[in-house]
Amino acid sequence: MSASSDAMQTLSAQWYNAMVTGLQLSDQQFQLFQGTGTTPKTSQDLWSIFNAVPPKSINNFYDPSQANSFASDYNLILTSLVTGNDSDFQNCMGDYYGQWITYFKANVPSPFNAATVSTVFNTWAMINAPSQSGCVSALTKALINPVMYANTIFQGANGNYAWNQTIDALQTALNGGQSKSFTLDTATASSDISHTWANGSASGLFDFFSIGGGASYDNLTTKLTSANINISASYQKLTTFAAGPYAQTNSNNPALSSYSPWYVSSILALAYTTQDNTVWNNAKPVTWDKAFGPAGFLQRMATALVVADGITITTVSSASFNTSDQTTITAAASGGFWPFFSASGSGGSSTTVTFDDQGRMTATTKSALGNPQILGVLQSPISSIFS
Amino acid sequence: MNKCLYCLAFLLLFTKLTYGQQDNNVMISYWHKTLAQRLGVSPKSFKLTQGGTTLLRSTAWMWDIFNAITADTTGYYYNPDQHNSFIAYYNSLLFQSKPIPFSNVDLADSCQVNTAITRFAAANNQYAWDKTIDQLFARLPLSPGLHFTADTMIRTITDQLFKPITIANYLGITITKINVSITCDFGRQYTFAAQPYANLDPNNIFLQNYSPWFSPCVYNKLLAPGLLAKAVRAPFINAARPPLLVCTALVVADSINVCLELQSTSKTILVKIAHYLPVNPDKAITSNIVNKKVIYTLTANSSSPAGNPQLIGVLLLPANLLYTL
Repeated sequence: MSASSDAMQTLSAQWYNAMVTGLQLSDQQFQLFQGTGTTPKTSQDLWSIFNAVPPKSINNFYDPSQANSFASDYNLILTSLVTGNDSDFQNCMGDYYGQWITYFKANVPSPFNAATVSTVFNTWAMINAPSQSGCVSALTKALINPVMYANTIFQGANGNYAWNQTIDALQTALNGGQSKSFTLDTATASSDISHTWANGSASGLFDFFSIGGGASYDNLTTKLTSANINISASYQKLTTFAAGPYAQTNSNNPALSSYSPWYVSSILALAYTTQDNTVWNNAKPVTWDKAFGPAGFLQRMATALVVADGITITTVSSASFNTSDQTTITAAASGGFWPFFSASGSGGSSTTVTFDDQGRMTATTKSALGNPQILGVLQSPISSIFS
Repeated sequence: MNKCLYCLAFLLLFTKLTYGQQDNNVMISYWHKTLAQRLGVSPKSFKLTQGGTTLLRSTAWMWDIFNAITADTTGYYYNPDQHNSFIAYYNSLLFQSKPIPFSNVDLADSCQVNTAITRFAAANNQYAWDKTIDQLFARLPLSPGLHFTADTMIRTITDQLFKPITIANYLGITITKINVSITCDFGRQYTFAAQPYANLDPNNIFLQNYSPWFSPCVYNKLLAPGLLAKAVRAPFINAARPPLLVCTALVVADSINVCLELQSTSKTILVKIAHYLPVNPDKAITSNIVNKKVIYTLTANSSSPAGNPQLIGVLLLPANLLYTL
């Protein structure tokens, strides 16, 4: 790893600790977020972020095309489970079972659900088998088979996987958000992240300059970070916004009207808490270990987003830059600086850079209200949800 | 010597965090405990929301919070995860149960699994709680405020921490006292409880579109030994695992003003703590002389105006204890 990468790792760790403490977040859940989609415009953008399985790292450079998706993981698990037979209804019906099945096949109700099926059964039983009318409970029970129900609704979603909150709700939450601020002094801030949920892992590499990558920017980054940096962050509005996979029809939200529920949590609970073939189908390639084991594809989920609006970040460096460096840095300002990247003019943000007589830099990035940015994600290990 | 080693272990723990950061965490812990006491609830059942959570005027949003189940892993903070659902667990319990043959049904028994299965299925994926967000918004302006001042003192380690820690320099470590005073002023505060919809409420217009789906009595019956195999009940009753927690109430406040005042003879340490507070350290720290000593005071305010209620925290209860208390 280069000197500038090392320095950015340290700076990211310090920033993480400062943000967790300053914004009152749990270091057992929070993950810094950067990358495409930090300003979601649509509910679909928002859901893509919730759908991405967070990697084990205190920072994540999010790329929707590369993300391990929760919905796909859930589908892999769902199709690997034993559907299960429920014989209670058949046992209850005894000799009448065949007659009922014949009648039912010719009278399948629409819509097909527990209430309509029970009505068909009650009508049939009243005339044809009054002694078996009590079997309606066993019939209804078969219709609330979680695995069967989960398979049905997942297929019914047709690849459109919604979450239970929409972009409008996020905007409303932000409008009522609280103002928060904190500062980071790299001279004294801790870069130890071993106490966090990620046990010291920091994988997403952030550059100081958004247009960086070349040797000159690496050198500038090394120079910047080798001296003391003070960062002051203030957010006019900040909110923690939770959402879960769409599991129950919300007829009061028009934005969700074209989506159908696709998720049944008890399936994941069943799959996670039972490893044997009473739940897992041995004939399928996905096993408990492949899903939840040490290298399993579903270790954790995105629980909530920490979103801010009306952002001002001021970075003061103690390093002295010569005129040439100052020109390079000023040119880079159009794309913004770490920890807040946004091209000037886009998303209502602007970055200004000034240098004092000794060449010390002060960079201020401002983003007006109405341009929310995702600062981070609260993740939850699957073990903490389906204990 | 034992005492010396104990202190060393303590210091090694502290090296994970800088002292300002650690002190801030201590204060949040103190705030959590104090607020729980003033609310009259156990700190074990009370969790603070992270970052800040706006109260949305949406019943579905509120029910999603009540429906969520999580394990207790984040200390004094609430884990708002919504991947695990109480409704789905209840469904699972009902599905695993054995309906009683009709001939054996005791019609006088109001706690029948058969009836519970039928009414759950009849709700047809529209599962309500017994309260709506409008009830919360109607109740909050009529609620009293919560006002108190709480004082404590914390001891912290100053600059010596950044020197290599050895037995030899252990004696050089300086302990500094910080007097902490928190003044809490919630113009309105209400703890809003709700339960899964079990009994028809004809007076609530919003709930007319929903039918009761939950039976507390059957829920307890299914979790008690006997009706279901232990493996089925395990997620709720396994003492070896962290308990699964269900939200039973929202702790809501409006017109919020919380003032934190810290006093110490060390300005350095107050500056470090100030980094994590919404203040400018240069302006927020003042000094005066008391008994010929300079005392520094750091003051930080956090506020939210009236009409912008916030979810301060939630009350949680282990799922297996829900209807047994």
